[in-house]
Amino acid sequence: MKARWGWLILPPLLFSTGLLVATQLLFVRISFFRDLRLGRMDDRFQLANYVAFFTDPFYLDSLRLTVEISALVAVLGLVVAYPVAYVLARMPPRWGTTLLALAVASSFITIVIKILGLVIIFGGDGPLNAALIRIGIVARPIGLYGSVGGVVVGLLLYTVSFMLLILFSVIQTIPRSLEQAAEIHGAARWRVFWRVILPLSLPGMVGGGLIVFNMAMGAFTSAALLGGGKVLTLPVVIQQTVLVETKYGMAGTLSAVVLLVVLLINLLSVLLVSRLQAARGA
Amino acid sequence: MSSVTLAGVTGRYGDFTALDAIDLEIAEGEFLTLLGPSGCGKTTTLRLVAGFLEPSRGRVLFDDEDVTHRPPNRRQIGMVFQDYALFPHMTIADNVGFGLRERGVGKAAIRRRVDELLDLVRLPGVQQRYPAQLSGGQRQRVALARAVAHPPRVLLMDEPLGALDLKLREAMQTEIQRIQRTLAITTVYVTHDQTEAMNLSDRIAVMNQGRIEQLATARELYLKPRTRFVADFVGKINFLPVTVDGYAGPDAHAVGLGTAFRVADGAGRPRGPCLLAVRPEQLRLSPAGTPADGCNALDGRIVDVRYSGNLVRCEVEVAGGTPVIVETGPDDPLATAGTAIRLAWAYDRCTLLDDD
Repeated sequence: MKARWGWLILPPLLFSTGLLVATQLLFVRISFFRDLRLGRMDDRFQLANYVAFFTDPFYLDSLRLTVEISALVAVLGLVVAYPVAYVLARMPPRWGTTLLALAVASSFITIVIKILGLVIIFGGDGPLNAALIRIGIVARPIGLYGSVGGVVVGLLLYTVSFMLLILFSVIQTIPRSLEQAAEIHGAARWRVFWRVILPLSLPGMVGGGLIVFNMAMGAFTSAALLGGGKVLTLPVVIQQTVLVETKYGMAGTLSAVVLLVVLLINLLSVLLVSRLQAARGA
Repeated sequence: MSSVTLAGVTGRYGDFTALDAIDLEIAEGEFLTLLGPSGCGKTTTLRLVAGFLEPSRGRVLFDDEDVTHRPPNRRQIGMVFQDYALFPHMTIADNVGFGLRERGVGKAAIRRRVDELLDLVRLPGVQQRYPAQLSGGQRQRVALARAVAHPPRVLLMDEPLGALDLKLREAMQTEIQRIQRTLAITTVYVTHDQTEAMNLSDRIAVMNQGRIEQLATARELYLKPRTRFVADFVGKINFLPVTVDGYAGPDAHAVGLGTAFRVADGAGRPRGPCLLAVRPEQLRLSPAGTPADGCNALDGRIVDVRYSGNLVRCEVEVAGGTPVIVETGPDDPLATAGTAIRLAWAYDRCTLLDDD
């Protein structure tokens, strides 16, 4: 009789499903109970927290800010990572993969350390400001700490190597000969990019953009450390709601909203792309 | 349509010289094939004409125009790639019309021209399909249509039939020839398949190690190869070690394997050792002891016989143990292993080559 090795997958499957799904269900469940004071909760199932969320401009502003920052980070990530990914993908493979590995390895360094580096570089008496002032671009040191700009830079640093990895693998699958065919049949460099490379790497751009967007939506460290308590994205607000205000129900609601928004945006994007692909008949 | 001239062109990849100061002239409307083993420089030559590679020395001319430093998109070239390189995200119509659109041709004109081109390559009605929905041979036709859409000055083909099976390859050879003749486009074709090269080309440049070994018609290459490499690469051939020892008018006398030979038009060759080259099908089997009047003769014994339908291939051992391959008719009564025979061939059906 043949051994049924397939069953071996069951324990890890149950374990990860439990961790992944159960935790989410838990906070979605508590989001329907109203907070009493000092961390105690009402036992009646109701929508009070959701009503509070959608009527309080504080929460709505926070959601808007989070979506805006995440979208900006996704777009900036694309802009920053695309040319790098393209050059790496078109290098002799040995060099390309080595450099990519270095870039990706840097993402294993905890974001806390990287942000510390950022704080030093962007600090009032850091090298960046010193250089800017010496060249005469700015008169006073510009600060990134405690500003949306700072948080965006931090999130970019956090996510850009993932973007690089995804774009690299997609661009690598576009045969060189397609570029040459476009070029030889009359397309200038930017037309080759516009008509061939860009459309063919679109799925990768959407994928990379979504992953970065999702990461940024849930990113707490960058927003908390670089925002300095002034940039209130939802993850920061959730942390405060749990630890400072001990309103677990409300925190559950905020988390559920993040989950819902992320799901919705991802679903829409995937639908859009698959519709484009289907039209191609491939 | 233009003539193409490569003047002293050297092509390098880093330190590696892929092409060593070659001169090549391709006449207007000519079908020229670059033939050679992989790494011989044929693809590099094509890339230089296309403009994907700039020569480190020398010039590339279209007619009398120097295009050495002109980027590919402004050279007015059409090209068929080995992997077809059709744009997977565009319809067949958009693929074929690509060059026209890039050159600012109007929409209606593009549509008319695309219809016309798809008729030319005998693939009407596929305008709205995508490359993934076509077979290999059909994609090849689309690639050809795209390459000639905006009538190119030069058409380049980089092993375009390499990915097709034998039957389809033969059919496509006919198609390519028909279309090239119809449009009378100067064509540079790259292949490592000598049969394909001989079937298609006006002239063939046999390349080896970054140089052109011989540039000639298929017939001349086959009958009068100028180097051992060409003789060996184009068709099958036997080499007999001989020494030139005298001349008779335009002919040369040579001795080797204990026999004297005469080679027509061999007077240009200096005295000394060289190779006598003779094709297997030029050798006739005759019974041992047959007088050799008016032709070369060599005694031997058949050691192996292989039947392949239209001919019989015999391996003959001659003096000194040298194996000689002979191709004869399937009904040749002498083609039996073990038979002692005499090989005979005409003076003008062999040639003398350097032993390099």
